[in-house]
Amino acid sequence: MIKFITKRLLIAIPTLLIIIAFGFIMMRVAPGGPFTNERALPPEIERNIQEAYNLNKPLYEQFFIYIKNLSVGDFGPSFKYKDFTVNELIISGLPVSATLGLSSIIISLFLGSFLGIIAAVKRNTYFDYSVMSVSLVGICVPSFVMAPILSLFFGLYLGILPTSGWNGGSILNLILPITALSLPQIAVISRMMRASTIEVLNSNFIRTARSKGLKSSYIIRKHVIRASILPIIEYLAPASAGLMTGSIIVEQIFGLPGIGRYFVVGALQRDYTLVSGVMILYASLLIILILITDILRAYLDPRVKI
Amino acid sequence: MRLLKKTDNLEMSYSLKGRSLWVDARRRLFQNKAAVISLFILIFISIISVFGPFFIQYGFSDTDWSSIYQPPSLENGHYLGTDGNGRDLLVRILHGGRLSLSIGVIATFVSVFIGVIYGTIAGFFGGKLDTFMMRVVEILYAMPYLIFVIILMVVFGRNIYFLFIAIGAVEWLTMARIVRGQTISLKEKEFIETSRALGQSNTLIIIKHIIPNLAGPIIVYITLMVPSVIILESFLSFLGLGVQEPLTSWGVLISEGSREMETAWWLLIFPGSFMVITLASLNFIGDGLRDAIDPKEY
Repeated sequence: MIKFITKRLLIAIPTLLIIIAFGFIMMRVAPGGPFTNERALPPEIERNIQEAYNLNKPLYEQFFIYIKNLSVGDFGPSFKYKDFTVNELIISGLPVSATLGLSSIIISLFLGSFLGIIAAVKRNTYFDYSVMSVSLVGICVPSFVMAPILSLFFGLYLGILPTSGWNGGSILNLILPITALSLPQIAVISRMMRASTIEVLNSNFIRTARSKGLKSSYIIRKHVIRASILPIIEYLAPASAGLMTGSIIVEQIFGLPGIGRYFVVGALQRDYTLVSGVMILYASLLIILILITDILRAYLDPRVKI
Repeated sequence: MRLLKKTDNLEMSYSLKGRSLWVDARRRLFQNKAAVISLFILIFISIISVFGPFFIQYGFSDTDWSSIYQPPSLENGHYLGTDGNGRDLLVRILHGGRLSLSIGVIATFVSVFIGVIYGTIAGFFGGKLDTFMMRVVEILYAMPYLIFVIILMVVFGRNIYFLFIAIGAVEWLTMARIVRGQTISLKEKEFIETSRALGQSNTLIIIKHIIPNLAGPIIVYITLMVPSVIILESFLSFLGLGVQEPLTSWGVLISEGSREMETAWWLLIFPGSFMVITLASLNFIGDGLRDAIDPKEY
């Protein structure tokens, strides 16, 4: 087990390095730097600025300086938000994005699997049809269509929920963003869960369990779920990636001060350090998640040896 | 003479008996009502997107300051209303449809092209090369790919042709995986063995035997990928990184609409519905094709 985890972590290091290098190079290849203004700065001042941010050194040296700082957890100063370091920006945005992301993934996992299992058990009934058609809506309506419609309907017409703002993380402000973020994932997960549960229900070991005279609810709880949840576990990492990108949009629409918003602003303004900082953060989160899913799968599926 | 007649008969009997996989698949597809209806809707939307603008009196970038934020009405010819610059919404939606649909199709083909070549090479040659190539795919999977597209769009400017390539370049991963899996199971089949025994080169085997046999999964995957590409393009345009004014796509229209929905709901609802209907039809067609071509799965 420990060997497996160390091996996985060792693979993760080059992956991260590639990601860091990619972000680093791409942002510097881009035409126009963070200090390109309409009015040109006097050359001395520009030189001073470049020196302060190490921009005058050769690229490889800048890269090494960056990696060295990263290894002690320092993402460097933000180029655009003058008085902030990237660490401070990330720390200020993280609670918002983490609250959104975690609650969405928990809600979509539980609700999605729950609906999927019931739809599979009650296959070809009205419950099944309605779950599947609602989930089709969830798949076809992207979050950037769903979010404005939700805020138009609940915020403006009904006036029961606030349309935007963070408001210290109050639950009322969170309902709409979390709904917009989780609906597509609930849709996908419930469809996957339905398909895999149907497959498991038709398999031999379930027939054996039934012929032993076990109660149906017991079989589903003890035998079916354990097998049918496997594809969902594998979907966890792509789902989180989807949530990360979804949160960029949702934060934009609902005016939430999260990391996703910093990323878009940073990319548009060529704030190199901020963009690579956010990218590295997201990539590391995904890598950790993939590791967790591998471990979970091994725990749930006796056929997988690690 | 008699011989000729015999072969004629032979051909006749074959043409009566033979029902190819594809004929079978088509029959199954046309039995699927949802897929057939979706196919018609999709064709209809494509046709009106391509030809519709020629029959509307307004151009897609004609501003008319005397009629801004007109709600939908039949009388003044703005059937779906106008936006804040007095531009006709219907003609803009149709123009946006041209762009969104063509980006969907072209970017999908780019990614299918990359994915098929990559996947067949990895699967066919196997061994260390396969391990390495799939490790690369795995690494790329771990990357928040949309963030890459955003960076790419920032770096290379908001060029619409680059958009095709950027989207295609990140969407090929799944295709490569599917194709690799299929290739591995195909290459052990007897007919591949035969052509190898006949001395055919690897390239020819891949082109003539492997890729044609992958057609089923590829076609299914294409119909399921076009909607995700359309969503991706709209997502970028929504953030202001995709298609630029005065050109328009559904994503741009939805983004404008969501900003002005408080004063003009139609600017959000109509482009949104066009997009959702298209995505739904593509999904139905994809599901129908999958059931038709590969009936084991559901």
